[in-house]
Amino acid sequence: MSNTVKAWMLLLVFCFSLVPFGMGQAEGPGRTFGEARALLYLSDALLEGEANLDTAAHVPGLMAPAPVVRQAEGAEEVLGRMIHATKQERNDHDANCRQLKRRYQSAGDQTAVQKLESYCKAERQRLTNRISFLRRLRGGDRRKVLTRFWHSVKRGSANLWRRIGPLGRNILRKVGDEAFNTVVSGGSLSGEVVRRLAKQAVKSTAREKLKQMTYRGVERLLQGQINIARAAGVLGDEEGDEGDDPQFLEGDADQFDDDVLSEGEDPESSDSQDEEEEDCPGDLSWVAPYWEEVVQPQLIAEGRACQRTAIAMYKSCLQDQGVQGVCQEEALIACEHLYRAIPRTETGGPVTKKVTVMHSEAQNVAGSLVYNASGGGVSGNISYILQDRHLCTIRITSTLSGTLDVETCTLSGTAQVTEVYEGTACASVCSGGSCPVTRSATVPWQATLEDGKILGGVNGNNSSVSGFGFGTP
Amino acid sequence: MAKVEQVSGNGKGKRIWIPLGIGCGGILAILILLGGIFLWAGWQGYQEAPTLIEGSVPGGSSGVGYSLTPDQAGIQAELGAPEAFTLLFYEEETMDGSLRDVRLESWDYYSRGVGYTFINGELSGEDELDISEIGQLAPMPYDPEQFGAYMSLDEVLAAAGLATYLEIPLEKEFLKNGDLYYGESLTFGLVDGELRYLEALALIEEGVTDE
Repeated sequence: MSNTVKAWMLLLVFCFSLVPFGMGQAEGPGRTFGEARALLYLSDALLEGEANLDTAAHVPGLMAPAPVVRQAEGAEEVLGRMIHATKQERNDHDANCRQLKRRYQSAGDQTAVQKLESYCKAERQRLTNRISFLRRLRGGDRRKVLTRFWHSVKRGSANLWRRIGPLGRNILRKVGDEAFNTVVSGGSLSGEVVRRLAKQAVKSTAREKLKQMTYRGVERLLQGQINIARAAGVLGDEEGDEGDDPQFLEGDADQFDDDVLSEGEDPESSDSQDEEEEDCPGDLSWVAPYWEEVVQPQLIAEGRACQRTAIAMYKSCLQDQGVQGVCQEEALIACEHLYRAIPRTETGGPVTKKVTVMHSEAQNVAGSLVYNASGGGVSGNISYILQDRHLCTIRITSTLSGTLDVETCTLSGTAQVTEVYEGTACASVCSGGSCPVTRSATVPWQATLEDGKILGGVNGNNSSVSGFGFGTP
Repeated sequence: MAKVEQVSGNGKGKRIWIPLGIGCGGILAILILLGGIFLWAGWQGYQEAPTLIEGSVPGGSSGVGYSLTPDQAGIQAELGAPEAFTLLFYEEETMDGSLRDVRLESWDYYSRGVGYTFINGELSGEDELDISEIGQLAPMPYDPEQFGAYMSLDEVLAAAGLATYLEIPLEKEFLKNGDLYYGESLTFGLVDGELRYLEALALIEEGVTDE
């Protein structure tokens, strides 16, 4: 009996010994350099889209109200940026490793080279694993039906929480765009502010500076590890003899570079081998649904759906990226600067456009149309005078009303046109000295709104008044 | 005989109602479960989504800032406060196995074309910034002394005086318990609620126009 109890007690003690108490306090730093560096690169990647803009960004006074949002799209954009940031981080890591190795080799410090090799390989593997994990996360959303269903459930319910959640919290979709707006405006400036990020104005210098900063961090980190290893006797100095042999160093350097860099990979390029593995060759299938479901509503919500030229450039960029085999998230990032370049000048209430009459003899032209860029009602007035050698004067006034359809970028409605004929020789109207004569009719009108310009006409067919063309000057 | 038939009829009725009740109860339970899952999933999505926070009132104190070292004070006396700066906070292992905090710091002077890197306040490098003409820089509202290692979110917000900021929770595959934030002229990152990265960004002011 006592033996049985003893056996059970031993088993219990053994089981307790298997419980990983104190796992959280593993050896080595808890707050690593790698974590801080990852944040640095991601932050840079989220703001990076603006770097490709040649012109300064125009930020509307206060931050534009958050559009109707679907949180998953924001999260997907961030995921794409994370992959991009990690690739940048890995490229710089490789470059820093090569630079440090050259330095240690020229100093003949083989102990340091040994430590560097082991650190660089492990770190590179960690970054490559991170890219793979992130890709799998993104790929899962694209390929698996159940995952997609789960995401759609999550999205629908998140929108519910968004409505009932605390005030002052707006979930975002265009994260990079909003991050940039927040950084340059902070939501506290009035008027139209034109600001640029200095580090993006000097992009290559800023990239070099970033690399230099992380280089110094790695150098410091390694020096500490080398010192510890030397003190513990883990790394011997006997290789130092070999280190004096220039041939050994050269060969070793080649081998190290081969190890660190994947086969066929350009160290300075952000494209890597595992990226090639997951290319989306010629896959354009996502463009049309993405355009209809995401871009078009977003453009309408932001009041820039009728910027046809800029929109066409953005769409063309997405299609080109698709043809080149770039996956959706990266295509969106690559083309984001074109999305941001779509003018956003017609937000925040009614827009008033001056219009002129398309008639070479029109005088005293005064006209304007008022509409809301997000659609709805349109109103306006156009008046002008036509004179025939001062013998006949026709005063035309028209009051327009109608609607703007933002999906087709057309304005249409009816116009109340009044023509007053004055003078002595208004042929066929004032014959027999009957002037002045007033004619009035309600006629249809239609116009298009493209790139902020209006072009249209009042149709005078089958009515007692004449039609005329109008447009923004 | 008639009584016996009535009793057996009642028993039949009960036998029908019991499974019907169980069935309805089961369906109701399933519906409640599905509703709960729907709400729970949405709450997760809501929490994980990048969010713009407006009108925040930082409640905490600005915490412990940082005192410039002689190296840094010397450069600041000569060139003024940095036009942009980056801070990284992490730990390194010392010879005796203990951990020591590291403050890796970069100060940039765009208008003078020079940048400095400090490790724990000690000048560790000077880099030339190859810039020809950068234009008019907006005044930098922040100073490296305002920010100390491992500050909490409230402390950073209080130190920077941020009321509007963007919060981006990060995927655990990228950085577990990591969050990235953007405010006016500022970006910073926290891991486990501790400040690990901060960058004060210089802005080029190209003009202000009133519409």
